[in-house]
Amino acid sequence: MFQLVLSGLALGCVYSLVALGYHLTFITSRTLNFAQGSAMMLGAVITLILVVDFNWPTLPATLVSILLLGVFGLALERFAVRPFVRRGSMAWVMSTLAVGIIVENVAQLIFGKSPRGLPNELAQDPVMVGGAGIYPLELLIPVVVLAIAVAARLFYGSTMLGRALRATAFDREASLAVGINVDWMIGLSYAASSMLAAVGGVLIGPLIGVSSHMGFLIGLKAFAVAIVGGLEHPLGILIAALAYGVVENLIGGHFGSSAKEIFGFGLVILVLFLRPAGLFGRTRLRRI
Amino acid sequence: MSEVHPAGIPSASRRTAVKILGAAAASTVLPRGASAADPIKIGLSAAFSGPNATAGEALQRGADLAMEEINAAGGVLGRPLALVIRDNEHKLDRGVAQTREMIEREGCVAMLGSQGSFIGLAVIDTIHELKIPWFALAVGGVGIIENGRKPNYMFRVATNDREVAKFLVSYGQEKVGGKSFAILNEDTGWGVPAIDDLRVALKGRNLEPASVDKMKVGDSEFTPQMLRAKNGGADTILTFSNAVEMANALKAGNKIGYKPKVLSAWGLANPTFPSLAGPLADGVMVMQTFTFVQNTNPKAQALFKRLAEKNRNVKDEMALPFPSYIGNAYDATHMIALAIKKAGSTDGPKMQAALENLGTYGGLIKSYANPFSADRHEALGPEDYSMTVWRGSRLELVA
Repeated sequence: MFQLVLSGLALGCVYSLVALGYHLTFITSRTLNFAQGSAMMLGAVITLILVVDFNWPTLPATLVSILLLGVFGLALERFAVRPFVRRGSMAWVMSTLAVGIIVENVAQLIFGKSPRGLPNELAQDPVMVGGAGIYPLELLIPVVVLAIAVAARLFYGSTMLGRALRATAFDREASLAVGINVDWMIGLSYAASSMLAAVGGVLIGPLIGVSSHMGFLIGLKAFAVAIVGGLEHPLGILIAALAYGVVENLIGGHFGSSAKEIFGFGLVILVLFLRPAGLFGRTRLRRI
Repeated sequence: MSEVHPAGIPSASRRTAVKILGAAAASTVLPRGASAADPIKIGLSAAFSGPNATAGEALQRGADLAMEEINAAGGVLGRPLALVIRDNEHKLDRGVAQTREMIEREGCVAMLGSQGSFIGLAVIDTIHELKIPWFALAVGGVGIIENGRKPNYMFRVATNDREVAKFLVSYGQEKVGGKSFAILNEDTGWGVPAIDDLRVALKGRNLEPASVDKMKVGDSEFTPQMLRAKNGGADTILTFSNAVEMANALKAGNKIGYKPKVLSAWGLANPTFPSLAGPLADGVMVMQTFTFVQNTNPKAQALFKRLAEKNRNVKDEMALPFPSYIGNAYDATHMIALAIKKAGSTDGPKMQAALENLGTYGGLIKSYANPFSADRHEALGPEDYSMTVWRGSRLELVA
């Protein structure tokens, strides 16, 4: 039982990283980056290619991969989101999805069709925590998530750029009026969302294996927890993600792994039925 | 949502490619006038994209090798053989539609069969309507061959899941010294029916499984399954599964301090298995019909040399994934050529009759003496299975 909770927490942290990406782009631009799952996969695939095929040490490979995903996010926003949002169209839903699918298939062509293992010393020998075994990497995952959360808080609170981002999220028109480059802020939020997903991919890769199709289901689950937690509530998303990881593991433990998705997504629907704005969201008053 | 199955990018050239292998070379040795003869087409509908793609490539390699030899020796009935390939993407509807299309439109006179037992089962009707021999080369579903048809057009040059289950249990008990067995199969049309095959095989030795579990393809967390096996007291796991799922199961087992012996059907022959499972792959045993590793048969060594010459990436035997499929497809292709020769025709019913009375054929996997008869459509039996074991990144024969 405790064993399942522990593994579930690590998985939940990864969901939260990908899910926070949905949050970031939503607050700045009211758009969602549906290529998040693919960005996660790309982060893991690039790291694996650098580490295994080019013999890079893990840390620089990880950093390069995350930076590249930042560039990917900028490009995605510039070419697949901005043109549509400008015209007031919802086509960004389709275009981000399409980019995700294209990326997945290109990765399959380059990376190959079979899954591969991403070696990591932290995922070799388990340590015992309270009678349950866990890989050190699974313990590192929550630490990384916490560090990112603290860094984000500091960034938002005490840098010009962070404040500008917050202002954009708060009121787009007013931000434009005071001279904030809103386009650039939205681009940045896309870069940050892709980078978060990449971090998730690099962390989960050594535990479950890397393949060109690894991002789909995790991207979808992350979207579910983003909705359940409330798209505008980072803390809510974090809690929802951890809860989803744990609950899903416990369900798998008792009813078999085929029941996981049935109950997991079923629960999502139930929560949304009871609280349409998510667990922590407040229904917005609309002035008419 | 059960199987995370990317659609892949099937290349147009591959889908429509009609490979006339060595046809040019063959024309120089053919008797006068025969060079203009149309090739005799044999179809291969298999998954060439998605997670099962490497297995499809292995089937193609085996058929290619055999056709090169047949065509270099003048072809069959004065005509060269040609392989027609389609990517069925491991999908039932595509597999069935392609089988019909390849026979009716392309004029294929025999079909080499796909991965996925569900596809093999689904084409039985089509095959018996069109009366063209179909060869199971990468699937072990019992019902594909035991289908109640007379005459039966379904043939197998591969393992049979029921026999594999018996082989794994007897090997586990006699050679590995297993006392208590857990069943851990993947949650697919291959793994689920094989659970019953394993149960029956265990029952045949008065054993009950310590635990019976399924692994959903695409899932990554198999701690509960491994806990049940551990708590059930299993010292050996019997599995019909693929590399990713079993690697993740072993990692989960490692976390709870559970390191059982593992005996597997062909799925874990995938060369990615050790990269996914790391050191935990060491000692995992995989049943096969054929391997190039440590194979002293001169025919196998010569074939490996030819493959290495053709493909610069093939540096050692492990660069050829799923060697059993190469062997199965190679032997089946030669059997088809022999049957055409014996029947003196590419007519389906005549070929079917010839296959049931083929005589001897010195194949790659073994020397066959009448591989098929009216009641027996399995060319290979448990006596032809061999056990291999992962050591590092090599899958070696168990001495």
